[in-house]
Amino acid sequence: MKWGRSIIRSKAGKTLIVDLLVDREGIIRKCYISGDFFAYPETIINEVERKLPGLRLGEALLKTRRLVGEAELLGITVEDLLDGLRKAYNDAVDQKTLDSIIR
Amino acid sequence: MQEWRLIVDEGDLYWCMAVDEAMLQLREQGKIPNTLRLYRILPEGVTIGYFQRVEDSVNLDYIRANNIPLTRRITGGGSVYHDGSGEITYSVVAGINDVGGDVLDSYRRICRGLVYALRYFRVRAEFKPVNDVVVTGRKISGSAQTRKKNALLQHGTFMYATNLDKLANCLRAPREKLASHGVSSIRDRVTTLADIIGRRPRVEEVLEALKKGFMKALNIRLHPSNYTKEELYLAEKLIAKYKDGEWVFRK
Repeated sequence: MKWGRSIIRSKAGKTLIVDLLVDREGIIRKCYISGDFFAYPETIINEVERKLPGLRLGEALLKTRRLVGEAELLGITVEDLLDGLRKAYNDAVDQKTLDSIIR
Repeated sequence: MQEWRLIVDEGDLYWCMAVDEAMLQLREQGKIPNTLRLYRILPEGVTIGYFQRVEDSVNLDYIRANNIPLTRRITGGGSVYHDGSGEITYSVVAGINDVGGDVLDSYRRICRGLVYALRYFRVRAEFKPVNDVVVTGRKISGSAQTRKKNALLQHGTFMYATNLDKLANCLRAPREKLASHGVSSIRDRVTTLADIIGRRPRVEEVLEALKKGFMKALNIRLHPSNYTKEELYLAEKLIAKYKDGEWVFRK
């Protein structure tokens, strides 16, 4: 298991940090989404953090898009968030695991 | 023209944050009127945004070594150094419909109160979306808003003479963020009213300017008032949360 992190600077000048703990099978085990952005309601971010563990990247992205679609982000966009998840995931997962997941 | 309550007070960091949350809850329930609160966080304190991780947003070693109170806000946004002898914190608690517009509109409208307040000192400032007020590109005020179904709370800083060296020591921003502002350090992207006008304004002057600024921006009258018993009771209860490590180090 390995932690991966991404730091995204949004167009609006806000910072988004994603930390993901990913196991050897490529499954997300822990997720933290942090930064100085805004979300309405705020609880939507807690919900994403709670629902991603147990999922692989593709499912995690779909799930996130669906959840956040019902909320309003300010300072970052949904695309920033998905981009952050992708980058943190890639940071956590080594090439061999990535190949075996894709296959 | 609507009449709002005005409350001017001061207290330690935990009390100040607890009162803001208590007001929001009670405004949501329709138990208190719209309120402008102007306060000083004594002697000082640091707050981080709802979504921030402590290690990424503040210099914890410095804060601990200097016994500076630290807590997490219920509002998003970034980390803030509150200087009780150089900063007034404001909070607006109101019905969402009474402020009007979408979230960004309401930031703009409330922040206009700060822009107008600066005008009384002949300082030209502007709202910089999402949540800053800047003078010649430097931040003089930052705000953060949270909403419930019917009510909103927006609170923020007005740095009239904040100790910016101490601010820079307390706060930490990822390098990626500073690069986006085109400057090299936190110290270089903030300013104070005192720095701009070349003298230290008196607190009374600052409070007066803020009152007038918000009255104009929100098109309201203000009547000085105080907390209800229920607000005080609820705030007392909420203090524990703001002191709780589980809350502060949640992420």
